[in-house]
Amino acid sequence: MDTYTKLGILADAAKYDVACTSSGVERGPQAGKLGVASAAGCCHAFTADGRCITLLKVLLSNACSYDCAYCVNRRSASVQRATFEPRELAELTVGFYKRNLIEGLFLSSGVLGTPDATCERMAECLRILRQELRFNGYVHAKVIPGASPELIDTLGRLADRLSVNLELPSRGSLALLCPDKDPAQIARPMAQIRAVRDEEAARLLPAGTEAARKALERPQRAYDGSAPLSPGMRGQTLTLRPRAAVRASKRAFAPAGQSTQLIIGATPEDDNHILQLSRALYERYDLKRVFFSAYIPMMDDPNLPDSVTPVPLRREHRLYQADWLMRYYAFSPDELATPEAPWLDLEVDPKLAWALAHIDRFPVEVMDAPLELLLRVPGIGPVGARRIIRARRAGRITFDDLKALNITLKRARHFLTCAGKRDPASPLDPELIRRKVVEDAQASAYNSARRRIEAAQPRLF
Amino acid sequence: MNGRSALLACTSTLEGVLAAIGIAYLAHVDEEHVRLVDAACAQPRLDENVVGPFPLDDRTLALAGRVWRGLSLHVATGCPRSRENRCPGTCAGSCVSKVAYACAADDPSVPEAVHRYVRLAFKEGPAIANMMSNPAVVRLDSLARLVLNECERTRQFARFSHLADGSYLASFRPAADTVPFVAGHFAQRMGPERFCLVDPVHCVAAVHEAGQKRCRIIRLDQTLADELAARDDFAADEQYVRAMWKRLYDGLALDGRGKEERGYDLRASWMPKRFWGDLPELDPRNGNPGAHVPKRYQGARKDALKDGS
Repeated sequence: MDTYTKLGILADAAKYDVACTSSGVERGPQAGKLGVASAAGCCHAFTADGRCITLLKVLLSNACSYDCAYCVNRRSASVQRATFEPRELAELTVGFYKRNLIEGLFLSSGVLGTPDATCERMAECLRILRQELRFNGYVHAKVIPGASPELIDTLGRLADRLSVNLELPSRGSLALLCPDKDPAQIARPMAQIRAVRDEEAARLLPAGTEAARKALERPQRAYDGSAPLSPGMRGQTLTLRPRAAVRASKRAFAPAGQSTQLIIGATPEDDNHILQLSRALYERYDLKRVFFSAYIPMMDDPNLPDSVTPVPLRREHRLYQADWLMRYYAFSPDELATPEAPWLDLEVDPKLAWALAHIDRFPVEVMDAPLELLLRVPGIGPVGARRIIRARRAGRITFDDLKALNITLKRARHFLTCAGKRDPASPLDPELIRRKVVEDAQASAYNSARRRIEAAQPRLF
Repeated sequence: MNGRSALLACTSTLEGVLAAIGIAYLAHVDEEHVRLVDAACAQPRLDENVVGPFPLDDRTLALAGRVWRGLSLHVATGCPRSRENRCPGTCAGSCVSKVAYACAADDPSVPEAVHRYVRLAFKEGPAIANMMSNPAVVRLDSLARLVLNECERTRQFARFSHLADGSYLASFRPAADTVPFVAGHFAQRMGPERFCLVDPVHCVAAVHEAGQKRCRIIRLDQTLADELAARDDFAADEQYVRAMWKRLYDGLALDGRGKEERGYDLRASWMPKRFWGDLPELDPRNGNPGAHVPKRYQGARKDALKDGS
């Protein structure tokens, strides 16, 4: 079987892994080596469904010995199987990289015999890539649960980011749909990655300093609103995300950290449960990202939704928005989806939904609002908040100025005053505001299309 | 000027525009009575005298350099944020460097937009960093943002081909003169390779020799730029690799998330259609890998046996 044929099979098998970012580490050029890594990443193509391609995302093998109910590569599935030779995949990565098609490799695999055998093969591929082909670009490696700690350590020293797929949001669902997977085997490598990164940070930070103490504090919490922030803060700290004490470029083990993936809609867990779980994962394992994958009905199984169930695309989208608000805007899971109302509103984005539910806290005065309050206004993000804070030093800001600053006034105008004045186009009555923004959101092409498709949903849990 | 205004024609490059601004300043012409226009599309009003364009020789280039240094001195160096060592994280002197980006835009209003901004910058000094809703700043910001976006698209969508001589060539048609800005990115990324990135629209190429830290930027004439962009003496593995890339691209799309299901075309909004013609993944001719399978991609025999193929 030639590489073209294998690639067709193994890319098709890998497409359900949603993590495909090349971000998180900045690494400059090194003499004689090919490639760099950029902290912001770079998307080189977009698929017909609009998802970014930044890495060569393939499985090393789809010959899996596990039998997970939702997986197209499961042992009992009738699909064509293929396996890359480690060198073959390494050379393919370099070939694509030189043509500016990718930023690096996303390497995952079905369980080829045993987790250790699979990880050994993955490590060999990465060794050839890094040492023989002298590749200095980005590598994301998926850890196979159950692999030995030594192999995980080897992978972490060859890859920029490691990830361990949690797959399902509860132990019960995992036991039901993935009988071969043990929750402890998933948690163990995540804990190991966190521990090794912590040890590395302790080595890199000057002992006994305040920075070292804070960096090693567990759990590392996001900004909690207890003290005002300085608007003079730099770069990404203008969001409320805690700043890494050790720069990724100084690290040798998984410098871009670790991430995980959850399948949404295959099992009955609600959004509050998923957001609480995400928060716990961020704190316990210092994850960089939790990815959500809307379940695509492909396999017939009595424990899975009907095969004609629409893909819960809006739910996945709202969960990503909520996750973003938790990481960068210091929202707590219960602010976004409460235990009493545990589902995110599909029609309006979570920030707008929160603002409508707390309309008594608005309007916010742009001339003196602190950063953390500006960031709570729908339509104002970190860049917009930074622009407002700078512009108001030069003088009084009007709604026309906000438009010039590229603030999304369609949403923001209802929640702001400029030097004490409301926007003339915004109603005063909170109920009218609520009705107007909900109508605007419902009229969007995205919501209209999704409502039409989801209206025919045949089965809910 | 006999009480009339002046139309100052200039070339729409950073040097050309800055030199024209310097000339207007040295002539003591009021800001209100001079308008900078790209010489390629200069159309005077009834009350305007046309002046220029001045040739870009050593004197005018020196004048342009003087304006640039003066701008840096008045705006960036004097910035209180810079003195407090807070500048690099927040703007990195962007209030000056965005002038260079704006000048790379393919927009006839560039000379006058830059002129207004530079005059304001000299008048206000470091305070301009906070005047983000001033019309002159908004206009310049929008031009600079346009060019920065186009630079990102060049980094994303320039596609290199492997040539028979072992080097790599990419032809890309951006909507701004981005090649000089992105050349450093590709030099870092492709350090050990010899490559050329050519833009036949703006007649410019970035040429990199293996092992060099930087590219050389070369301005070309239209014929040479077109010839370079049209080279098709590809290496033997090129067709096969392009076919593999297309296969990967086609294979990664997921069902149930397309244009119909989403209500809008997300791909077209991220990847503008004007680039589609040059992307190998969207070229149907790359659907076939051809008869020649390069040796490194032939696959191992033992592997084929294991897979039962």
